[in-house]
Amino acid sequence: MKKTIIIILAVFSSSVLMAQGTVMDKYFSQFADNDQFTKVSVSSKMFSLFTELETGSDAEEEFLKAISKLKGLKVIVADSISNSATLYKQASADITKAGYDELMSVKDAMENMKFSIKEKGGVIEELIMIVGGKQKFVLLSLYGEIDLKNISKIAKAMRVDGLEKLEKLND
Amino acid sequence: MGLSIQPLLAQEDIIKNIVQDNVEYKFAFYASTLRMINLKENKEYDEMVSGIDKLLVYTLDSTGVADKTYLQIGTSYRERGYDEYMMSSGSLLNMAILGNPKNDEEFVGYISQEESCFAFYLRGDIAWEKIPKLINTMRDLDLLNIMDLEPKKNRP
Repeated sequence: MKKTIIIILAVFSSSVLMAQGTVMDKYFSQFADNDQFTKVSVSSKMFSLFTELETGSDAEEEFLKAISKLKGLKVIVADSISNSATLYKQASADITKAGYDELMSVKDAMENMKFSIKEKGGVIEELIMIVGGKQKFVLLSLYGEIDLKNISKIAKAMRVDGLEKLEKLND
Repeated sequence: MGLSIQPLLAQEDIIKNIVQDNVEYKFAFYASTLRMINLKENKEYDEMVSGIDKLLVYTLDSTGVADKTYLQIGTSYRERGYDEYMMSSGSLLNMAILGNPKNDEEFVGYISQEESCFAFYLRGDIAWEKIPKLINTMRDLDLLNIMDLEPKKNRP
């Protein structure tokens, strides 16, 4: 049950199904029928629910403002696969090839993590996060109008595992 | 009045018909009963449920979980034009939340993980932004958790 709650929170912290990067679509299609990979998508409809709410504090208002500009989120998660390192390398190469700019990478003894963005006219339209661990692989795409200053707040409030690393960008 | 109620009942009946042969527990909550289960009088909880008119929760038995009966909920409501708000499929979590496009206060869905599954129908206004905080609070305060009820087969 706790595991369910964590995933639900992660999902809420995330989001949709619209014009999305080809990289994410490729992996969603590739693993569509593979139960080892959990595929999550949250639509703009879910985000719209948040934007209609009344705010009770400045922090809440800031949070909802950041949310309102997001169009969606897709996540692929696997926690017990043997080829996680290969997948991480492949996804990383696909992202570079697709023209995303690397924003930040984090490496530790347990896992590698990389954040990349796609920018247009000074606006970040998509943020992609890849995580590769011993048996773990995560590919996350957040899209819409993304303000990196607020992403860490959204990640913190919604508990999107990994995105909190973006707080380092504010330092 | 009768005409306005009829379509809402019909929407409830779809999910009811899908799960009826595999229901372990059924819970029907209304505004008053949702407040009643808040034994610790948690304010966050009260704020979140204050706009809910009706919440039906069905926990499915092992057959329903194994057969993935709950997937029909997504299929049936999508066929009726319901919008997908959130979807998840895979070994970690199977989940769907769909909303009625003609009425933004009506939602259905399911959450299935490992050997447990529940399906729900919700009518009313819900403070979605409070859900993460609410779940944490419910866990911390040990409020009634319908998912932790002992299955029928284990009861004396």
